[in-house]
Amino acid sequence: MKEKTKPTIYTIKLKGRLSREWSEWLEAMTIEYEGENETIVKGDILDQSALFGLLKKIRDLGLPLISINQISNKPNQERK
Amino acid sequence: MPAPILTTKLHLPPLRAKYVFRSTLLSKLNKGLASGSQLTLFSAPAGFGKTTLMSEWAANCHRSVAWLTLDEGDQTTAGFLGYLISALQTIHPALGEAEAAALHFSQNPPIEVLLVNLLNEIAAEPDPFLLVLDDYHLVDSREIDRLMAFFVEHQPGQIHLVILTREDPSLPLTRLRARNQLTEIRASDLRFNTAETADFMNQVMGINLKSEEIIKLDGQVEGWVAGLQLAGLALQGQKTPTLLSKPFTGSNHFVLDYLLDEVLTHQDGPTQHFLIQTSILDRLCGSLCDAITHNDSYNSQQMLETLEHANLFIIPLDNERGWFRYHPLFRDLLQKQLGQRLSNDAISGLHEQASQWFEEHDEPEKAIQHAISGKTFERAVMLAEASYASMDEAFRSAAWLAWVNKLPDQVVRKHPLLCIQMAMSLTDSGNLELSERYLQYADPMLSQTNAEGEVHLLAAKAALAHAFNAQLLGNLDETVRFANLSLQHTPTEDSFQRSQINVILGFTNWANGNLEAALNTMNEWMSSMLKLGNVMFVVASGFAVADILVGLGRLEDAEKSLIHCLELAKTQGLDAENILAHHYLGLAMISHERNNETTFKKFLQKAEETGNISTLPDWPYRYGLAQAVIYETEGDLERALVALDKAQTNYTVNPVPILRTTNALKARIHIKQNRLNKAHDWVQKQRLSISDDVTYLSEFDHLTLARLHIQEGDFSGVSDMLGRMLIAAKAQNRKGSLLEILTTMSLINDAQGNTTQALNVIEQALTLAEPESYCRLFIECGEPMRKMLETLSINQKHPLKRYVNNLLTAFSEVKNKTSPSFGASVLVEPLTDREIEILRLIAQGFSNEEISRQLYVVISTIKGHNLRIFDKLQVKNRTEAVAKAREIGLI
Repeated sequence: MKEKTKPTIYTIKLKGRLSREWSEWLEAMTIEYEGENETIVKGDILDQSALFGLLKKIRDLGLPLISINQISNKPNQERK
Repeated sequence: MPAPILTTKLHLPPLRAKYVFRSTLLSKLNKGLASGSQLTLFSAPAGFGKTTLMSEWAANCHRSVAWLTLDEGDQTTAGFLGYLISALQTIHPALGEAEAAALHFSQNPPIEVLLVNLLNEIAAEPDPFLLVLDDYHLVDSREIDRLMAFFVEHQPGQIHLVILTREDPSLPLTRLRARNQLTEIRASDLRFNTAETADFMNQVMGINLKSEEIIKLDGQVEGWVAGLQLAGLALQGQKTPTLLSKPFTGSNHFVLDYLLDEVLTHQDGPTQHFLIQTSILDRLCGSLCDAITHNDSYNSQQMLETLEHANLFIIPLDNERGWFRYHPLFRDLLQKQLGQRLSNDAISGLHEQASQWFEEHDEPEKAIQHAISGKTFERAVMLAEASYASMDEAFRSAAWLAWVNKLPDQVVRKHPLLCIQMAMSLTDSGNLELSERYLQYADPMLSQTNAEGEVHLLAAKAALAHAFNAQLLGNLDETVRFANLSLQHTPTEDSFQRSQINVILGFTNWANGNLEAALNTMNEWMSSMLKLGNVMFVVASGFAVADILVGLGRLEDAEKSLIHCLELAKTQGLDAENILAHHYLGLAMISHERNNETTFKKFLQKAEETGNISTLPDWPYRYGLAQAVIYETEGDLERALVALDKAQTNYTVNPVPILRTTNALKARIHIKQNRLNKAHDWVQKQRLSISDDVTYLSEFDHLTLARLHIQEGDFSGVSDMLGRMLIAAKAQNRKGSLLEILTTMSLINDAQGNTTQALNVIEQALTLAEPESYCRLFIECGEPMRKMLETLSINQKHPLKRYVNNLLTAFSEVKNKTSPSFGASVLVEPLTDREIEILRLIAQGFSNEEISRQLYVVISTIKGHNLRIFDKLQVKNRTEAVAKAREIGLI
């Protein structure tokens, strides 16, 4: 079988406060806030197509996107 | 079979009775239209009023409007083009009729050719019009993006394209902007200003807000009309409309989220239920909503109309108020509520009801979609298996695959039929590797020797899929092996599948040079098609049988089978006429080979007449090849080269093996023109060598290579290669090949001075050729052949005397007419490429000095070239040189 792709953690920063109830809609990503007016959507994303799928959902809600970052994998993580 | 067209997708969304008249935007749009811009792009996030503005413009642009709303199902170019044509036909029913027919007729329609034809038809429309593509962001296919880029690039002035999207499309926007051919409406344009916000709230939503509240609201939603509409709905329930309530001011909550809560709480219980439950549907109608809501307290149809009346984000999709859809943004908000209010089981239940409704109403795609969403996977598998064949026929196999891909892998693996269907569909989309992987899941079926019933059928299908893949990979042996295996498992009464396999076997044997086997399978295929009553198919494939017969050197039989097809077509009435172009062309080319000018001209004319109205995708290619042959016999070699290039650009992939590539045909002409460098370039590119193992597919390449060697006087190894080819051709009884090889052998023997051997070989060829009256075969060999035939004719008692004399007469006729095709061989010493180049410039009237400047050499060099040219052509001056060169076809 093909080797499973390792999920990567991403943080996506949005303008406005999105309530935590949207977490499930957004692929069970966690929802946190930064300051008064920004939302951070954070969590494991399986691969690039999952990432673009999530971005589409955000686009479809009309939420302004501020930034998107990949949290680098820990250095001691190795392939099994 | 025609793809089902959802007419709701072609419906121009109606303007509401009350709306904000956006005069600034409308004048911007009309100005763009008047300035001749090609494309108007509405690019903005959800809920900015793109569609509404477009409806408003449609009512104010004084042009007809063709409308197409795209969805996730529109991912194949064939399906997309089908809808595009349907949209255009709302303007003019005859637009794209032939192209739509071609889409339905062929499994691999030549999209670009069809698009070019369509654009030409649009250019001929009397009145200019708009084509609107709404929700373009839902198209997620690079092929469709490319198709649209081509469309924009070649767009006639009659049509103005409008694209509504949430993301910028992959089109050359920068270039269009630079040329002032793009009008853009973006989020910043669409935002309502304070005055428009006031208008919207007061006029459209019917709420009287104070101006300070308008300003506050405007600051809150920033002119986002979806937000304004939700705010309006929330306020409609209040006695004294005021926005000074707590969460809405100050806090930065996602505005729509908050507003939807407000809106829902103002609806009565049944309405809330209805909205939330039906949010699983992307299209709604009364009966469908009844089926999933099961609520006796209201009638869904009335409910839908009430919602529309109340501005509740519901859009009618037809004039009869049969189908509706929610505004996508509103639907997303409702669906989130659904997840919070109902259990997962309850939601699955709703999907299952929807799936059943769609199944009963013959919309398998939607039925599968809801079965998967409801996690009723066995149901989804059952629906997917049952709908594959019809969706494949309707070019929806990519959409089918997209749905099935959402099933968990462990569910898929348990269902061999589904695996095989997935493999077929992956093959269609060019993913052979993955296709083979799915076939492995079904492979255990293949090894069961005592298989019965069901297992037999699955094994047959799996083997057929393997055969398809092998054929595409060019693995001829595996193709034959799997096709035969599939045939063993296919019941005799399944004529359709047997014929599918026979076609594969037929084409593969053909490519392998097993022409007699190919002929047998093609004949079996044709008789089973006749049994199924499909005379059209039989007629349409008749030309392939004739091609095989020509390969077998049976011109007489090929002619008979083509004429038989023509007669068969007559019994079908005129409908069959436009597929007969290939047959007339085949008859013309046989007459050409036999040097029978009268019948040649007659059939060629018929071929051209029928070809003009033909939608057969491979017609331009085959006709181009024939044109090249005709030009070549007329001695117009340059035109022949152009015709070959043109034929190549018109080639569309199809299973008919290519026995003579256009490049090899060009190399033959280059050899005739003595442009040997060009022929050598081709040899290098093809990596051809006289030590190669020659296959039937490379036979013509190698014969051409032999001709090149003969022309250059480099004979080593050529006879050996020809000898090996002769043995292979004899083993497969390919008389067509034998004749070509033998004539080439006689040429090489003659060139080497082995006169006796040359004559011996030519006699063998003549004996084979005489019963079928071949003629061009010999003439095409040029002067050396004529001399050999002349030598043979000296013997008055020669058994082939009459045939030889006929050939010699044909030679002299050809020579008297235009003869230049002998050009190169007439000359004692051939001209070099450079000399020919100079000759052409002389013919164009350039002076020596001008030529020297053009070629960056000193004038004395040109004069030196000229002297050599005069010498080789045996002329005295430039004028004579040009005349002689034209006469012998050098320029």
